[in-house]
Amino acid sequence: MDTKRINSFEHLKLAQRFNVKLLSGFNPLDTLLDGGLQEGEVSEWGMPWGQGLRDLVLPFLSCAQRQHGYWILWVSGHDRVTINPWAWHARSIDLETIRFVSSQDPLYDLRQLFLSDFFRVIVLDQIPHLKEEDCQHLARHARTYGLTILILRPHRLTHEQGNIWTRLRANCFQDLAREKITIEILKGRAPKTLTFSPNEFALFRGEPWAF
Amino acid sequence: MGVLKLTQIGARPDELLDFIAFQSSQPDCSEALQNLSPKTMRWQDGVDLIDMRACRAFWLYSAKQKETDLSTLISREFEAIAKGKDFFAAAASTPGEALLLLKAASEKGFQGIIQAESRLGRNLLRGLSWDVWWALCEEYAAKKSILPTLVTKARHAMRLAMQRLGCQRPEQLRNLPSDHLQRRFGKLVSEVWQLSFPQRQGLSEKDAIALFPWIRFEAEKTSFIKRYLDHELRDWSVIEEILREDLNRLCVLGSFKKEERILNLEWRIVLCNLQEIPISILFRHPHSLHKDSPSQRTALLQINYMFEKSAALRAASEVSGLISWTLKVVEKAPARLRQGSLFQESSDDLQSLRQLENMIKKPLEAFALKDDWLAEDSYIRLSEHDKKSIPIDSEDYLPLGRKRPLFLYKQTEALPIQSLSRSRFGAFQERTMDKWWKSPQPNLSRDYYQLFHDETLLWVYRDQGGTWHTHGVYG
Repeated sequence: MDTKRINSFEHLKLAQRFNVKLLSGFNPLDTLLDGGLQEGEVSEWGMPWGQGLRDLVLPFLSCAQRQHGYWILWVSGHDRVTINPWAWHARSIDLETIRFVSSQDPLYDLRQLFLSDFFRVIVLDQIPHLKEEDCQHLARHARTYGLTILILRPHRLTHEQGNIWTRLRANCFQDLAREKITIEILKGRAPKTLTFSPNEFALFRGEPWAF
Repeated sequence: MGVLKLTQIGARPDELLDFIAFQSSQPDCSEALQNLSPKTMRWQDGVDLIDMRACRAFWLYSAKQKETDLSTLISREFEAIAKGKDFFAAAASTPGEALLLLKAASEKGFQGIIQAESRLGRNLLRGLSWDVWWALCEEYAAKKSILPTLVTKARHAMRLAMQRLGCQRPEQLRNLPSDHLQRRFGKLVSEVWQLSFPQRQGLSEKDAIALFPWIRFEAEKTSFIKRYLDHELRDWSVIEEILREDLNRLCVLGSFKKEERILNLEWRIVLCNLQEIPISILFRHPHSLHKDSPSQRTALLQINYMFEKSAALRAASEVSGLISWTLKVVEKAPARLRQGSLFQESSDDLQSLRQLENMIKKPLEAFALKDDWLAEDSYIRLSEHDKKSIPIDSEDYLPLGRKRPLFLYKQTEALPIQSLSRSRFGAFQERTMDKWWKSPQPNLSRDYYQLFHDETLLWVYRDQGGTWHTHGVYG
């Protein structure tokens, strides 16, 4: 199969076809994102590890599985941990249509997956050394195959270190002392900030927030 | 009124153990047995071993389709191969046990399939005589090229010892550690002892299978392509083009049918200094070279990964280039098994996924839930050959799942007391019973808390001794 030829062809023909937006179902968040995550886009999230913030991503994945029947790929750059399937299942993730892989260099290790529209939502969680040219490739593949790619960074994003290849950039952080979660849009949507308590989010998920 | 079928007690009818030993008076059954699984071994004339793990999904599916149990279905296949009911077969979780059971069944004249976990199977293994056990030792020694005189010597010494002890059957000594036997009677006796009673010797199934001297049966007609190069090659891009040509040539060989799929390919390269290096190319799922023709992208990607993985090979080929190679189909799924159901090809999604998985360097992981209260035991990592979901009966653990973190540490680590002073405890989470009977240091319960430590929200527990352990992390 001549990938280059198809890429350019698809690029021209299919670019306008992806109009689906992935919703979280949590109204304040969907409003902040102007109706959710746009298919065919790469978004970058500053999401410090170990604060329970990845819970914010799961409703989008659940929506992709249930409403659109998409397969999900979760690529983790963290090799000391494994997933806890019951916790994912309890957060409405269908384990049959999600796959996990640990990779420090997904663009090499999993290249063929980015050149296919099998996994329509790909989460790159804490991938080290993901450079700007890598993001360029990801943006091109996302546009071509209608992939929704979420890059989760373990640090806060700044305006100084921009990334022209990502359509949406946002920071998520949690103030554990004041029990507040903040989502701050840096690029791609109106520059707003959303603050809500973990309890509000837990209520949306139908469970008590413990911390 | 219900009828109790005694032969099925102890083993569920839909469960087929991993290895089957088969004995028949029909000549040349080995090739026909490959219709049951591509992984077989000729143990000796008339006795073959079949590794059923590779095709379990297919046989389970077939049994369901034909509304029968697995044992009956396999039995029918054996009858077709043996041209009648004149055969002996024994199924067990390890090849050593399957062979022993086969010998015991053959000695007593019990024809048909016997499962090691059935009542009959257990009784046969219990009543196994020393003669039968020594027959296995002799065959094992022949496989390992051990001199028959050594076997005779060990047998004589052991016979005298057993007479002195009044031990009439191996079963009576099954708990005897193999290292004790090694000291007195040698390594051969110790190894066969371990293969005969792996559980009692503390061997896991995996270890017992690894210990067994498995020599894969190869049909006489193997498909291979030999390539002699005009000049030495070093550059992968050039090698790739010629390899693509060779893979396509493999597809037109008469010995390699269109319906067959490869599981294992051997690329044996010869360097300029005449050093031969075999490279095994394993496919995660049975792969069709014919379907991938002429690009052969999947096979070439896997060959490239293996080529790059082997640093020694890369270094060697950089110093002296390749001058020839042989490309050989080592393992393939026979045409007879190529039915839509074998690899669940009825589902387009799974077919595409398998195709993609064959193309990537790292394997994807899939998980299924298990009813278990301990987080580390509450799931099953689905293997590459078995990526089907396992239905769970209840959702009892859903409330626990909601409170538990998304990620678990692969290794639970003790948290030093000093570091707790710098941490802040969150809410108490749950009290859980520990599996004290499995642990060398028994602990009855675990008290789970959230702990904010170094800007990370951890899921920690305190055992009965007051030691804190990090178990998970809230992503």
